[in-house]
Amino acid sequence: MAATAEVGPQPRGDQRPEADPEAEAGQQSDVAEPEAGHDAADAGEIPSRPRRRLIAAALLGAATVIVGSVGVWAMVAAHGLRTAAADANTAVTDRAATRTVSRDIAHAVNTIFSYSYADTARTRAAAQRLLTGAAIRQYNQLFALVEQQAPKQKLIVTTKVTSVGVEFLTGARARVLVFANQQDTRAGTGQTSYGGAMFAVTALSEHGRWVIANIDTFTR
Amino acid sequence: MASRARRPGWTRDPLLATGGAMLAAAIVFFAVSGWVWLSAPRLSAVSPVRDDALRAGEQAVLNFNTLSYRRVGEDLNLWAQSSTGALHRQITTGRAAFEQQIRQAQTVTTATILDAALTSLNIRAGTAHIIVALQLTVKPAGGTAVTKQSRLAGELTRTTAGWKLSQLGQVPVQAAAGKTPAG
Repeated sequence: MAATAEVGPQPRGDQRPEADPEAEAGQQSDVAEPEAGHDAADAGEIPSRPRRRLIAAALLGAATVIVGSVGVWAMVAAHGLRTAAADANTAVTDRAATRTVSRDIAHAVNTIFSYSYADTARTRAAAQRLLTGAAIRQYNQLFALVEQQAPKQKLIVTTKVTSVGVEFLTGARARVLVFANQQDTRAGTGQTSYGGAMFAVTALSEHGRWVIANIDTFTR
Repeated sequence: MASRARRPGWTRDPLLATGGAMLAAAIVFFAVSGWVWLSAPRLSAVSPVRDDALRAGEQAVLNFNTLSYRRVGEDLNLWAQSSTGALHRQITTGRAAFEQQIRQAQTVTTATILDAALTSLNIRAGTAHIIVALQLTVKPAGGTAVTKQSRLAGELTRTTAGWKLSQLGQVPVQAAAGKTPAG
């Protein structure tokens, strides 16, 4: 009983002398020193100098850790923001990019689906530059029929995109819904007919230009 | 005076000099990372509005292309709920006659959205334009169902109860004079 009662206060007794100079050192550096430089130097300097040095080092270390941690957090957060933005759908919200995709795809559709029986090769050649991947095969298959039929019917087809809606847009990939009108004229008879088409296009940005990678005509 | 006198001691002390250098490096890193964070791309606040408008527009167009003579009243209520402005007025004024027509014709119309996209979005004005690729199935009384594709364009207006159609129509096939083979 007596032992525990003695042991109990003792650590407190040990801490106190330590704590006091610490408090004094803190006060000296903040408040007391400018007022009484001599007193501080005489009374405090010799015992408190190594301690003050350690405190300063500890403070520097703590500040370094805190400032560094915030920096690391900012780097991680910035990385998260960048990956989130890279995956985000910017259709319509990014006006400039949406306009560019719409313009390029409308131009591409107008070009590849407009032809004259007199020079189908020109359309086919132009199309190869506006298509990529699976769309090239899709198109060439379709256009083989055109090359067969068009001269017989003296067909001139003019395609004009009337509406373009970008559904999905990230970096270099987009899905675009296209409405187009077609005017078919038979040069032989002068007969003209009109038709409307709708399809969705998968577009890829290649060498700064949007090209068609796939055409979905909704035939399921 | 006292702090000035102590300065050389600070810099001469390798522990404090190292600590100071590390803190300085940390501050530089903090500044750089802060700039990187500030200049990182933020997700557009417009995206959810766009998604919301598109979703509401698709549903409204679907509602407008769903009509059964067996439940004309309910279906037309949905039309009214999905519309605002001019389109809404159109429905309410011609409603009685239209209901009668449908009941007599005994048609059942159902639709599937094949695809849809917004062509414009003006958040401040609270308007958007939508185009929809639709597949319609119309079943006349006793007849066989006919399925066709339809190109629709509509205008959406934001109301207190969300986005609603204020205009809706078929996209015309060029000159009205010409023949219109199936597209």
